[in-house]
Amino acid sequence: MGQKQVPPASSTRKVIDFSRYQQFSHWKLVSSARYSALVQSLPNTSEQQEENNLISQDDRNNNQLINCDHDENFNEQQQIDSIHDETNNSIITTKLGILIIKLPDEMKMHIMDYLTIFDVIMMERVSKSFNVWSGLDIFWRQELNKLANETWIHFKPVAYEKSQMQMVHPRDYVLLYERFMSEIRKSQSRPEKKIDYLHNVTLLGPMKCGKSEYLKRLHQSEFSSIYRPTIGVEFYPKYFNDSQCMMKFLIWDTSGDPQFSHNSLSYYRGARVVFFCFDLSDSASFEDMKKQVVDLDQQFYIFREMKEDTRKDSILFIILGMKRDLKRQVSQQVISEYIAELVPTYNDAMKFSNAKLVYFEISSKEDSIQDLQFPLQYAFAYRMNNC
Amino acid sequence: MSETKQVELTSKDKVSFKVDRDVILMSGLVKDMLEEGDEDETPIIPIPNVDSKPLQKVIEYCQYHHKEPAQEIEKPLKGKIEDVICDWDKKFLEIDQSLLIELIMAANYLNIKDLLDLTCAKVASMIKGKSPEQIREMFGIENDFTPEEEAKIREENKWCEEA
Repeated sequence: MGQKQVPPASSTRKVIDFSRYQQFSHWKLVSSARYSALVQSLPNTSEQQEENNLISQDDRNNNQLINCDHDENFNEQQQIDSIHDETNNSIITTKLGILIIKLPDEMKMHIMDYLTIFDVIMMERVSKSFNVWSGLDIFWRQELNKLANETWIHFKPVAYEKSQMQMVHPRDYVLLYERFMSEIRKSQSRPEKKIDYLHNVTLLGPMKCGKSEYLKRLHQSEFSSIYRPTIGVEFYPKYFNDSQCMMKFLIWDTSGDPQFSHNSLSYYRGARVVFFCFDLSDSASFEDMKKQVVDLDQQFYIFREMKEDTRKDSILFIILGMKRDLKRQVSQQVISEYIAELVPTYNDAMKFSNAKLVYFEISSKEDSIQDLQFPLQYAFAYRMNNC
Repeated sequence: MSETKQVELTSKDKVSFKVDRDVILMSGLVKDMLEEGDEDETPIIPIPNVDSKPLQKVIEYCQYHHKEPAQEIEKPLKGKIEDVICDWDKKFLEIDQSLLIELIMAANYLNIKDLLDLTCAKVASMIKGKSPEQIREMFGIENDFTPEEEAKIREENKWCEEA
């Protein structure tokens, strides 16, 4: 490969004016206004002096872009230069981190494309300045889109996390999903080990809101829209296991029919996980559920227990919005206000694993089995951490 | 035709390289520039963002790969990058880390997708499967967390190690 010093540009030889191609450059952060001002300030000649001048100015311009920080351009410029100098002297190990951290977002994204979410999360622990990698909104949005193609995660499962009034960051969705999906995958198999824990799970909720259909989908993976009321109560077993222990949930599917309602409430006794179900497409159903919650509270003081009880084995409440596929009559706003009202102290430092009240939305008709299993998986994770 | 058409690239530190036109057309940027250029001459293309060292590597890469396009690298990587790339690429990547970073910048700037993929995947492969301590050591990054903060993050991410 021929390598020589650049000869001075002569008038006979064609030199492609780089400046015209600035628009093709991938440094998208370049401020075009700033650039055109720069070009205009230069006389349009082909003298070598001018050429150099142009290049070096472009050069500086572009190097500044690496920093993505307009306030400290000058200092960081020097920093970058010094890194380059040291590169030549092979004293690089201490400063290389800065170069990595200062890569433009676009390229970080490109590198992260080759990493799994777990790798990215591990990177969070490297240092604060390294967090810019995992903090990139665009990365999580992209991951969320990937999930959305495979499953129905767009608006579900919506965990009632943090303050509901606040927008949920795509990262939270992805992490919640990834976390429980990995546990769901692990727990698909039927038990061979002996059962370490048995917990009763009770499904409460007004008639026709889809409780039985939900459980049927979980067990038989087919959906039918024929309504068959539950009489009294029906049972479904569900197994969960992880590396440490095996847990069996005995799910009590109660009848929502008012004539059995007295019984329904008694099924609450002994339950460690209670689902309150309602129909998102029917505001009357939501009101009925609220009434049931009040009934239950009057009999068992459940919310007092929730606020005051710090026992580790306290009950987990899951509010489940069913029939998400139909046109909704109960808005998320209404639901989150209701939940905030139920437990005023709820917003204090709630975390995935120790929240005593969570809210999910599902559709037994459209969601995949994994999606439907999500609330139960959450219950399992909760019980695992609190038993 | 007795000789192939050539292009002269000038790096940031004013070193110039003569390259066959076909070879350097792998670069989207150069391609765009040349489309308007007069084909009878040997045009000089200043590449003011790239030093001679990475530029030379870039040209090396183009010379090898302009006839044999690289295979696409899986996303995300399942194992080490060395398992999925050809021998030539393996040898090509035996460079120090700072040059690698410069190569990423150069590949991005010159818009050479395959090289960008290769170098980015290499960095990803370096990060992959490493503990935070190892990453810090590798890139020379200081740990700026207080012990409490570190414990908190560790607790939040615990599930991820188990998975």
